[in-house]
Amino acid sequence: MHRPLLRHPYRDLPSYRFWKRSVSAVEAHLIDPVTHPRFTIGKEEAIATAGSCFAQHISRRISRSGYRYLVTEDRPDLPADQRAAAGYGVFSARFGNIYTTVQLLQLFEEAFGERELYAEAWQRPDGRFVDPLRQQIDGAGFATPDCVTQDRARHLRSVRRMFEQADVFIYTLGLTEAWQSRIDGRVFSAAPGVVGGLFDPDLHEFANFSVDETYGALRDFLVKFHAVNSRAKVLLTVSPVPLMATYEDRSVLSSNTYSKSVLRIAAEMAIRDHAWVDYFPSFEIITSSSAGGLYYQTDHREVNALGVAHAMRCFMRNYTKDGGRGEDGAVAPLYEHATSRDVVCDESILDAARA
Amino acid sequence: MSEHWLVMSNCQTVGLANCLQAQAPDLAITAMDPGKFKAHPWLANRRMRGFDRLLVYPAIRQEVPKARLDRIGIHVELPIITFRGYHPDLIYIFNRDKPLTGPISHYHSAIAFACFQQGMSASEALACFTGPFFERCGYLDIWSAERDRLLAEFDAVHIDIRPYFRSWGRRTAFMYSYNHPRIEPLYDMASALLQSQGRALRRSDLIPHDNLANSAIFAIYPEIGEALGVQGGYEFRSPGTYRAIGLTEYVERCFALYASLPAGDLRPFPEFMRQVEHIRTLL
Repeated sequence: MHRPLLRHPYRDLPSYRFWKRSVSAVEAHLIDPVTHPRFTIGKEEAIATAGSCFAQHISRRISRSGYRYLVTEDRPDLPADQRAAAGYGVFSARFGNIYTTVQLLQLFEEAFGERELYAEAWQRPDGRFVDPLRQQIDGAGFATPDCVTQDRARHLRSVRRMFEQADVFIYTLGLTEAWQSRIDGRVFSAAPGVVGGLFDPDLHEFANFSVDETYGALRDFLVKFHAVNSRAKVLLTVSPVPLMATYEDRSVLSSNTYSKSVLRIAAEMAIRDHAWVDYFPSFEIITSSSAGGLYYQTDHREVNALGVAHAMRCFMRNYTKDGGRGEDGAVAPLYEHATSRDVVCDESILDAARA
Repeated sequence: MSEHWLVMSNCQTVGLANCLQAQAPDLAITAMDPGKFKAHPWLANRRMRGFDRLLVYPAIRQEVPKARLDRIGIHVELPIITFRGYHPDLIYIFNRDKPLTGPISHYHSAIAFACFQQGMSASEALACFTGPFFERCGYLDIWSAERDRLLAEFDAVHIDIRPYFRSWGRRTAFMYSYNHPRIEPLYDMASALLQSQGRALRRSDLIPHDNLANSAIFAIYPEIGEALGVQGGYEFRSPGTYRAIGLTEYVERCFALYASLPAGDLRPFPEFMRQVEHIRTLL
């Protein structure tokens, strides 16, 4: 009597769909969770980046590999250290970190005239002024509120050019917590009073965006962006850098889990809705149990160079047309290495080894 | 003691013997590398009959032709741990027909040697030690093939190190050089070896000291380490000292050595010929 063949939906699925085969069985540094990249990037395509600080690693790596990193707001005349200190080239335009999708949408709308230019400036304790929507772009700050407004107008023109010219826009979702204006809902880049300005509970309020709010803003941004630049593709990532602090009255650990979960869901919803949007799992690479915390610095927050390198290897391998490799090398594994293998170390080594 | 075992291998002998002893308290393990035998051959041979089992790396037999290994009843073939993933630039060079000893034992840099052969200066050679150049040399792509090769060599003698291998490089590189493992892989190899001999294991976290930490150490170039998930650095160490030398001193000393020898006497080991030639085409 023939025994019936076991039939179940998981039969014959590829290895990457099984933890044991694609995670447990693979050395930590070789794990690559990217399976079906929706597009690859050629060296002629203009890549723009924005988002939390993890997005900066992407821009650095693609620039180093000869890809076309689009920077529409720059001061190439400045020496490299001054240029970086003034916030040029960190992202494609000088917007600083854009942690929440609500900020991203508000920036887009302001750049394309769908929202009124934000003309406020906050004063710092040293007397200098900052733009409340990008408070940390320049350590030197601005001399007057007028300078802030003029620079903002210039900045928005650059942002507009960036969205119009980008072939690929890479956005790293960072947080759900933010501080916003009670008057018009503007989201600030940092809480009032941290860098500049004064916290006023009548004017400012805390927000911790929900899935609906986070995805709603992302969805609106994507639709509007596609309307002005229909050829562009979008690659979303979630920052693996945990929250520095939470304003919720609970452990920052719990708030971090909430925040990253919402962002991950929003990214998932976006790729379900749009074929030209993809998700790159840098968050998974850095935070997974297979990495075991090895990819964080001693503060367990900042991602270390090894983690960045791992994420970038996967990015370059899967999302660039040449796979991040220029040419094949000539180093062969030592299948025939009897000559090397049988070299017995000299006496000084054997002596040291006996100790 | 149920049995007395003799371990004869290369510089991995003492570490492996210590690891076997730590996990098998019912056995008495003795380590004897070729140098130790040669120091007192007569005495060593007199002890041979006292061993029940010889664990021997085959190439050692020719190193100690006078050893009366036939006096031991059971012979077990030992593999050694060699792995090139962290040190793809490490090569051996013949000086006439003998391995050339350089600033760090017999270990040489293929890039430095190729540059020397190409007539470049030491400072020009130093400029080649960059991530992009390593990539062009193929240095970032060798891990998987080397892993498969190493596992196959152990499989061939029925010692299964597969369950252990994945954990070896998790925090630090598991090799100090092509043939100098840290103690953890030797501890795991000892476990697999005892299993292959039908022995019970007593694994614990009290593993023996890492005796090869004071041996010759070849640098893991930073960009290569980064690609393999470990911290690299240009830190070369000679046996018996903890004073490291950096890349500049290492390359300069290599160049001075090569220049002092007749050029025709120097050639890479056969397995490295193609690699050196390839690097020369990139210069």
